[in-house]
Amino acid sequence: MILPLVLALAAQADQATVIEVRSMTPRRVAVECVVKLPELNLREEKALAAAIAAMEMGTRRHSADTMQDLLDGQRPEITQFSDHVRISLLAPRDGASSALSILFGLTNQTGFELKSIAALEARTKERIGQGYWSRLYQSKIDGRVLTMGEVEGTYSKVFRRSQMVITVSGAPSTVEPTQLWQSLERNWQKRSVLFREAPSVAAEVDTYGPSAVGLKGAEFAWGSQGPAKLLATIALGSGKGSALFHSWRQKKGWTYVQECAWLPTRAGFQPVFVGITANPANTTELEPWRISLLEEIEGWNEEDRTRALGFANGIWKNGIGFSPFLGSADRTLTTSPSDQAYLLAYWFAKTGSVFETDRFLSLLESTDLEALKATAKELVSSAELVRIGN
Amino acid sequence: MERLPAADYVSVQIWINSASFPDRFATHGYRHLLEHFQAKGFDNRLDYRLESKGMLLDAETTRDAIKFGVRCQPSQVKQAIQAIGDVLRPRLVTKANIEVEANIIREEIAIRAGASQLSADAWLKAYGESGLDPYGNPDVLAKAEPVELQNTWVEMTSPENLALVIAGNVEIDPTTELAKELLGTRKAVSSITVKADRTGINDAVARKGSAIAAKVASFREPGTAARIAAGLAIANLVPASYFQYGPSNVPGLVLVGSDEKSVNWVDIVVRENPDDHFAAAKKLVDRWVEIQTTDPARVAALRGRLLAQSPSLRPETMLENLRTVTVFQFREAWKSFNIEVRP
Repeated sequence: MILPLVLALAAQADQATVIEVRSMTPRRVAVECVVKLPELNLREEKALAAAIAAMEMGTRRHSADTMQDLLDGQRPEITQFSDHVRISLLAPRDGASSALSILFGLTNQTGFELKSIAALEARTKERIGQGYWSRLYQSKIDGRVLTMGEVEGTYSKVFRRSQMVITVSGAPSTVEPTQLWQSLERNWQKRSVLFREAPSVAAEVDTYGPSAVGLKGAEFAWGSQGPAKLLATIALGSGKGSALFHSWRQKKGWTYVQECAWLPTRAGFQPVFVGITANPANTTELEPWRISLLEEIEGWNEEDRTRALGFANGIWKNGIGFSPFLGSADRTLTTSPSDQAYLLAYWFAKTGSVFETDRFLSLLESTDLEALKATAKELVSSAELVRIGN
Repeated sequence: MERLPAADYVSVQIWINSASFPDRFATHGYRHLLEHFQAKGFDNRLDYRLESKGMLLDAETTRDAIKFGVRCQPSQVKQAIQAIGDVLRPRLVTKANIEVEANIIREEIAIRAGASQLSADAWLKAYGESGLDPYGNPDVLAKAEPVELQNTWVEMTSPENLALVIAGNVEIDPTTELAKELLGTRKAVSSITVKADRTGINDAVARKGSAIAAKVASFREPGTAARIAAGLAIANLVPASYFQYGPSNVPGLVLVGSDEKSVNWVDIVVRENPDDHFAAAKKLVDRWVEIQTTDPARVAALRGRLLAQSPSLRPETMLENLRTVTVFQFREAWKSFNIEVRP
């Protein structure tokens, strides 16, 4: 079910890398851009969030309405992670040129002239308060008011061509996406700042009432230990056959929702296991949450390894969802054309290699039961137990 | 059975019409509780078995029906239908099982997203008891008796209440034969069918975010299509908003909302000129229809939720109405968004 791929990589020192995916039966063209982040301090992270809010309001090339019109009613979706920014565009079948033009406007020609800092801050605040995945990794916020110079400066620091990987997934066209992008890149300009005062806008932020209990594992780079850690993560936290579901929900009755994810970090990934509960009595002691998982791991047999491998096949080949990789601050990746295109761009940006499903799954299969149990135990034992929310 | 040659997976769904057992205050959530129990399969390991093969079971309780779906590859359809057969088999649970599961549903209700909470409030406001939230009342559920639940399940899963839908890249004839072979021997145990109706007004208080809704009649009515178009256009005016509509032959709601409490939906509806948004609405409708008619799970759900109500119901009527919404219908539909839900 994975898209038929024809890859064309174009990477030079001061250019973006473009990956072309030619699918035979697309209704839409998905343009996904991953922008690798340089090191940012807390204040710059906040300025980036404000810049993204401004980008969505329109660019010098396209107003928000024009972007939406060119994308057949869709808005560009821009998500800020700890290690990268995801820009997601879904255009009509013949809309690759328009989508790339929008992408160029977003990354090089956002003006910041129409909205005040207060409005941007309101949007930023609104974003940061939503969703439990985002709350897990965006827990620290610089509360001081930003200046427009900081927003513009951070925008310039982040959106650099050499840090961008773009996937264009759709039908073959007469003009190749790589050529289209390169012709746009020739007009890449140094930006100027235009600033006009506007009334401030107040936004109320809703936050989750219930608490989340999280086990945050240690950060690591993908490398040789990645596959075993990924299989252990799935065995522990993905699906209703997982240890989390069996223990935290079925045996203990602590949660209705329990999930796992790999949070992206600058160093690599951080595995996180989360259970959400509305009953404060469940979170007075956190250590039992860890102990219950260690008990589950002790009882694992070959069937549990088979289930984890089957689930991994389901995620990346059958599109059942529940990938440990995040697609936004609030959801994990699916196998929609957009998410698949994004995974290609992200994996290349992250590891320097192309994500090949069969090869990726065969890496997971090389983990035997003993290695799986040892890796899972290590993940759980060394994880930091955290309480999120009330 | 719907063949989608370009689809990359197959969705096998069973829809169980709930018209004979709608939620009422005294049994509020029994159907949801049954959904939880039945999804476990006869040995409590159905999920485990499916996941080992890369398949996935999901379940949902709506006001009109209960749905179980299996996502699989074309070569796994037989196993998926067998899983559906497993789900349908009555299970006798214990009182202790009920208490544990009622508590899990209590957790489910407490943590659900703002959109779901607001929707429940809007339905209660629009339709009173007949619009009760399908999540249920955990206090009522904790008092349910095992035999009572089992009998309800047997009655509810009588064949005339069931619709099996398979959508994806499958061959229609052999798959139909397979479905008959695996599920076709079920015998009717009851012919009781109570037509669901929705009336009444109750007060409701939103707990999170803000929303506005419009009452709609049957999915077949042109006015419903116009309200869908207007709802999509109104939602489109607010970033990160959501849109909800579940096609039904009985009255329902089209709802748009946001997690942000400060959105003044009434003001938007009054202030904005619908004529300015008609062109955008047409594009949004096209996109909405495209999603409903290409993704196997959505295709199966669209057909299943209607077929479970009556074998004569087809979504094509609504889809055609959506394509032919006029500006005049759109203007009228815009004005009908008048059920506001906010703190």
